[in-house]
Amino acid sequence: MDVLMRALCWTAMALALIPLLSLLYLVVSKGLHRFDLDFFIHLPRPVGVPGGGMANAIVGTLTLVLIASLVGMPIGVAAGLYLSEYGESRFAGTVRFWADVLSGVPSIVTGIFAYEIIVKPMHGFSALAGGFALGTMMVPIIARITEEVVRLVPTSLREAALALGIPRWKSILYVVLRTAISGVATGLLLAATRVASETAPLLFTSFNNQYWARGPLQPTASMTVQIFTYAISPYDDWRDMAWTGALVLLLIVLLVSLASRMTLTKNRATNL
Amino acid sequence: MTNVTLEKTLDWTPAGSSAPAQPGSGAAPAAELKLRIRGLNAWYGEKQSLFGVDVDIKAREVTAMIGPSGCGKSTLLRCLNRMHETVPGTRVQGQILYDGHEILADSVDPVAVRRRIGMVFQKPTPFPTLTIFENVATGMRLHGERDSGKVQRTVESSLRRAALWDEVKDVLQKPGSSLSGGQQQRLCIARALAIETDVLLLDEPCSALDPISTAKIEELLFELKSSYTIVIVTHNMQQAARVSERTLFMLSGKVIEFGETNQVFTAPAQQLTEDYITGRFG
Repeated sequence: MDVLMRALCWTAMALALIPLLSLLYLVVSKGLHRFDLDFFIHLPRPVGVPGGGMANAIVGTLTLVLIASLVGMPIGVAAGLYLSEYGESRFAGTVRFWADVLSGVPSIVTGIFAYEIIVKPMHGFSALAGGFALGTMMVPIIARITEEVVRLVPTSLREAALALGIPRWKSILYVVLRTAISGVATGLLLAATRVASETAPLLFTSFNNQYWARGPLQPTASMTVQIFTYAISPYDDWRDMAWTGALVLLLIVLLVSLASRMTLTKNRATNL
Repeated sequence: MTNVTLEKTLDWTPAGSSAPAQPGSGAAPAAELKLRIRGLNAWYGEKQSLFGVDVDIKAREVTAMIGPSGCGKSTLLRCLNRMHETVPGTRVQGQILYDGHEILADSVDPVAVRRRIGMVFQKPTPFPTLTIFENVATGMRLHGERDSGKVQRTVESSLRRAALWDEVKDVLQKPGSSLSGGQQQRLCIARALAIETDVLLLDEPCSALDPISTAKIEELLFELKSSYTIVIVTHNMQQAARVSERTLFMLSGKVIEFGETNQVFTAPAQQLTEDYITGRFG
């Protein structure tokens, strides 16, 4: 029986790994074809013209994530601190509930929301609108991760700070948050990679652009939307570019989550 | 630094209500008595944990509080710098006068009280992400001290007074958590001394330490009492006998006996005290 059970578990694990590994294999094998310097430094070229790249989309995605972080990080971290440090009230319970609801909202709905309150009044697609949509998505993720890691800071440290005659708000910002800072930073990175791989909320906010965007109020290319555009096109060279785009995006996400996981384990080992 | 904060401290209105009871507060008696506790009652939720405590704590002496677990000695200690307020559902009634100033009044900022009356806890609590230097400097920095030379000097003198300087002077940039338990506890004492503390409250500071580290802390208390007023809660009666001038014995939230340590341990006035120190209960 024991052997049978182990065999069953092993098979289940193998079955679960097959899609993941074949996905990796497919993306790498198809993506390597155009994985060259041109891809990183050139603008997209018309169909049939050899070469060309996604430089504008790479920069565009970075811009979008930067704007999203400016929107989402302060609000998310502040909300998380509120939940962990003053989180006993009924209001906090409500905030926690809505944060969970918000993180479950389909991302396309967030995109419509940003379209309605930024794109329409400003009469145009922009990185600002796309960044705002992504930032909105970051808030609940960051808030809940921040709450969790800040809660891990022992009460005795909070007491020690208060006993030094440090006002509560200062002890939260400079002692409690500082103790949990690497955990919070991990949360920020995870949230950033999570939204960097979003497509839906960008379709009608930052839209797309075959050239460099001149400033954050212009339609802006992003890797995800560019991959989408290329992948559904009937041209082979564009579809090759889509595969390479997918590979690059995958690598970025993989590297960042690997790095954040490593800092988190290191932090758990030394501090908490 | 001291001047500014002294003014701040003296700014505490000696609570209108308590003023009549304190004609000419300050001057003669206050110089001798650092803390005067009058009719102090405390509750945790519905449960009363202190019953009418009246105790005078003399300046530049070590006062020890002993008694079985749950007798209220830690609660009493935490009331002395209003740390009891950090536990939700705590309520107190009565008076505590620090140099003649009422400190329990609502108009008094607990933050100002804690800057003068510092506390060291049972478990050493260095801030783990800060270096040894920053652990000591952080109190004064967060109180707004910008002069880095002054911070430097205060950190050194505090570490010296806590008898830790020689052991850490070459590793000031290492994390506070890299020290041994006894060193961490002395670091916490140094941290408390680096602000304008003149009363030091210690809540079983040695119960997590080995005998050698304990001896070092006791030696340190002996040094410190020439300039600080020290109140120590301890489970260890030998420790109380070794380090303190006065001993307070508590039971079930009441003060049973308070007197010179020598007398309390050799000729206790109360039968209960004698039973406790001879190990008949507790």
